[in-house]
Amino acid sequence: MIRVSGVSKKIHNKMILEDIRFSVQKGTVTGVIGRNGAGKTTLLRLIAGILQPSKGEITVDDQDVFIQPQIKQQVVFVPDSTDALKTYTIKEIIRFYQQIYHTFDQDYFYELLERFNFHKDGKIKSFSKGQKALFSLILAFSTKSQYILLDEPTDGLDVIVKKQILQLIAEVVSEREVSVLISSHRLDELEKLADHIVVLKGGKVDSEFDMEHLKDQYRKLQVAFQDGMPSSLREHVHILSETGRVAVVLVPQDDQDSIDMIHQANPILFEDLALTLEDIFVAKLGGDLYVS
Amino acid sequence: MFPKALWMKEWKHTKIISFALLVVYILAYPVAAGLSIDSWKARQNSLHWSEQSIYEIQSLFSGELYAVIGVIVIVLLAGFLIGLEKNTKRYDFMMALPFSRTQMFLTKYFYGLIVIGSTYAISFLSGYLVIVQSEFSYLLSEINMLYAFFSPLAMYFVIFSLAMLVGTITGEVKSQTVLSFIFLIYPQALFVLIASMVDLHGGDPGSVYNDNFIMEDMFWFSYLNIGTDQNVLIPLIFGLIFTGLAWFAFIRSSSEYCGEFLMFSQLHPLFAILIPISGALLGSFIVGGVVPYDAGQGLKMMVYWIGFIIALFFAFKITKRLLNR
Repeated sequence: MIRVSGVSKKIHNKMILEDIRFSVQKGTVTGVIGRNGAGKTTLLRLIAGILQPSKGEITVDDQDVFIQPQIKQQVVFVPDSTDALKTYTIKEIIRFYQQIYHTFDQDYFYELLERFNFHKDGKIKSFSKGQKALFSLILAFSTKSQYILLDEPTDGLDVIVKKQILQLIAEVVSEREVSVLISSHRLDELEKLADHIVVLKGGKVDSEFDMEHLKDQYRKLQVAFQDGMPSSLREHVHILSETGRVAVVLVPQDDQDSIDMIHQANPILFEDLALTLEDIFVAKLGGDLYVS
Repeated sequence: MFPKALWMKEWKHTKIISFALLVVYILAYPVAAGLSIDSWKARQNSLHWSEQSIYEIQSLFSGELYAVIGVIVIVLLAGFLIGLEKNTKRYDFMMALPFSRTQMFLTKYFYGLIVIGSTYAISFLSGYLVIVQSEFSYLLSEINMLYAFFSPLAMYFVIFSLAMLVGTITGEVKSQTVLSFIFLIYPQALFVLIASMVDLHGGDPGSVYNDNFIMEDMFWFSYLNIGTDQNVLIPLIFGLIFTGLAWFAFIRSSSEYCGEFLMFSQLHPLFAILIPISGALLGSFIVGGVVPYDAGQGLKMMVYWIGFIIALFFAFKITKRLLNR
C-alpha cells in the first residue's frame, strides 16, 4: 500500500501541497484530480521519490521511499513527457529495464508491442506522440511492479490512443493486483477507471470518494413541469441544467422528502438518468473542479 | 554500490564525449610523439639541439595545447554527467529509479574518473612507447616519467572534481560549464584584479602576487608543466575535498530547483556578493587599461572608479536576473 501521511511541499516559499493524507490500496485505481496548478504532478513526483517532502512521510509497503529507495522497484513513474526515453532504441531500453527492475517481463512486453502494432526494434524517438505515451505505459506494466504512477497519461492524445491507453490500464488492473495512481483533470476518463478519487484543490485534499459508494449518494433526475419548476422546489434540489420546462436535478439518495415534493408538484416528466462523476462534482463543489 | 543500470545510463549519454577525450589524448601523446620524432630528426644535428631537446621532451609529455583541450572536454564531460540531465526530463527519470542518491553520484563520479584515467593512461603509455622505440629514447632519461604521468593526471582529477562540485550546486548545464571554467582560475584572477587595485592606490602589488599557494599551488594548469617540481598532493587533496562536497551537495539538493541557476537558495547571498564585486573589479581593470600609462594618477583613479561603478551596475543587474530565474 502507498501511504501519504501529512505531506506538505513548499517550493520557493510557496506552499504547493499542504497536509496531504491518503492511501492507495493494492489492486485499485486511484484518481487524483484537480485543476491545473492544484499540485497533482508535484504529488506524483513526491510519491516517486523525485521530490522530497517539506513535511510528512511517504511509504510504499511500509518503507520510506527516501530512506529505502530500493522499494521503488515496486513503483514506476510514467511522466507526462517521454523525453527521457527518446534516445534509446527498443532493444536498449529492454536491456536497461531488465537491469533496473528484476521482475521485468520481456515476453509480456513483446506481446503488448505486437498487440498495439509496434515494431520490435528502432528508436523510440521515431514514434508519434501517442505511440510514445502508449509505449511508456507498456514499458511500465512490463516491469510487473506493484504500483504504477501515471501523470496525465492521455493529455493531448487523440481519441483512438486515449481509448487504447484506458483499455490497457483497465485490463492490467483486472488481470493482476497492480495499483494505479492516475493524475488527471479529465473526470470522464477517470470515471471509467477509478475505484477511488482524491480531489486536490489549492494544494489540499478537498475530498476523497470511493466511486462505488459515490453514485449511491445521489439520484440524477430529468423532470418537467407544466409551468416550469416550482420555486419552492428549487431550494431542495441541485439544478444541473434547465432548458425551458425541462430540468436536470440532483437529489441525495436519502432525501425522500425532496422526491415527494417533486411528485406533489405533478411533473409531466420524471425520469432517472445515469449519474456521472461530473454531476457529483458539480453538486459537491459547485463545478469548480470540472475542467474537461 | 554501483548498479549496472546506472553504468549503462551514463555510458549511453556520455560515450561521444568519452571518445572525444580519447581522441584528444591520442593526438596529445602518440600522434604528437610520432610527429615530434620527424621534427627532431631534422633538427638533431643543429647547434643547440642538446638544450632544446630537454624542452622538447618535456613539452611533449606535458600534452601542450591538447592538454588544455583535454581540460575543456573534461569540464564538458562533467556537464554531460550532471548538468545536462537537469535540463531535461532525464533527471526526473533518474530520481524515480530504485537507487540511492549516493549510488547515483558515485556511479557518475567513478565513471568520469575511469574515462579520464583510462584514456589518459592509454595515450600517455602509447606516446611513451613511441619514444622508447625511437632513436630518441635517450631523451626519456631527462624527465621523471612517474612525475610526468601523475602531475597532469592529478590536475585532471582536481578539475573533474571541481566541475562535478559545480554541477551539483548549479541547476543546469550552461551555468555548470561557465562557472566551472570561471572557478578554474577564479582565485588567481581575483588576486590579479586586487593587485591591480592595490597598485593603482599606491600599495605594493607584489604582496598579493607573491602568494605562492594561490598563484602556483592552486593554479591547476601549472601541474601540466612537468619541468617544475610541484607538490602533486595539493591537487589530490583539493580533488578529494571537492568530491566530498559534491557528494554532500548531490544528496542534499532539491530536484525542484533543476533548471535554475543554483540548486541551493542558501548560496544566493554568496553569489549575490561575489558576482557584482568580481564583475566590478574586472570592469574597472578593463576600463582602467584604456588610460595611457603616463597619465596622471588622478585621471587613472577616476577612470578606474567610473569603470568600477558601471561594471558594478551591470554585474548587479545580471546577478539579479540569474538568481531570480
